[in-house]
Amino acid sequence: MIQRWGPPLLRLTVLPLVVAACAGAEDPLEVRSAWARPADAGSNSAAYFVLVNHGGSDILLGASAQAASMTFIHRTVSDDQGVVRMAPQQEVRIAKGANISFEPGGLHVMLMDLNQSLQEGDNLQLTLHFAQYGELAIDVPIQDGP
Amino acid sequence: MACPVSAESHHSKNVRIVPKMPTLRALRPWFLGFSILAIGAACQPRQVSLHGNPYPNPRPAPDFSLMDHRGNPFRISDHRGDVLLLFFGYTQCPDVCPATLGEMQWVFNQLGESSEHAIFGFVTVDPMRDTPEALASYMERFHPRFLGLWAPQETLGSIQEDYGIFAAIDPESDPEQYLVTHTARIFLIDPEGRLRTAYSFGTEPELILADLKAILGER
Repeated sequence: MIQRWGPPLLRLTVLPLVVAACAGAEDPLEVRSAWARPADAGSNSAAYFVLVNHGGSDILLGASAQAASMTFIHRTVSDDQGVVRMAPQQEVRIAKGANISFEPGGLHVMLMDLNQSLQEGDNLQLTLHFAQYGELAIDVPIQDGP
Repeated sequence: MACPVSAESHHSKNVRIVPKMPTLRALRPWFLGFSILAIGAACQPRQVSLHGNPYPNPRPAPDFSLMDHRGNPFRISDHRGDVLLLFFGYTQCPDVCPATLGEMQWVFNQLGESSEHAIFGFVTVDPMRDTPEALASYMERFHPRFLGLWAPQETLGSIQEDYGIFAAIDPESDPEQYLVTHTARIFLIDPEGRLRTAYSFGTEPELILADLKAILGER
């Protein structure tokens, strides 16, 4: 009985599972609504987006972009006198299932000393570096606002 | 006040005693008093209530001599009749300043033709890198009523002091690409050159637009 039905049964059950696994479960990290401001070469800009974590916890360690000499993660911090400064973030913890918003006045990827001007309509290639996930390359449209 | 029925009949059986209507003569001082108050109120400039942190007693905005990004001298006293929004920032600012300018761009676009009586002045706190030429390149991206304003460091210090603005190079930033920590506040100066209110970073642009329209309506 097993000899006759075993192999086909095996194919019917295991194969779909294997196919499903290889088809790629949803990417654990997703970037939505990315955008960066236009700026002149030599000046600075900032990239914003929403990071959605569909997987386990991870840590954003940094970012890089060919268009910028230096790329950092910063958070805008203001005190009760209205004085604002940029606080460098060595890492940003992305908890399991979290949505982390990088937006004006808050977390942002700072693109410093641009190697080229960023014009509205262009696209910036930005790579995010995660402790677990590794590198995530994203396309960031250049626009005046979100 | 509706005039109560004052008929007094001494002859009717159903006489109703009602308070006697005061004579005109007796009311004259009251009329005079109310008239004076009414005229006085009408003659006072209509002071609208503003958002942000309004100055309880509007005072003359400290004047200064700056150069705008088109190479023209700029003094507040030269702009009577215009409402001025003044902001201190710098062009290499990656987040706060561009966000503010973007929001003000929206506000000025909403003003439409009224923007002809409004100016947004962007005073640079980084005169070394933000030369008038660099300012021009930056400001040209925005509304024509936006002016980049420049003064050398020696003069800038006292202007910042007049407006309670803190600005200093961030010691943690790369000296080759320094960042400037600074007070982010937008001052509203009315067409009479008086400080009326100040907005902190994050103030909803809709509120600033409402205030501009109200102030322009005072003219």
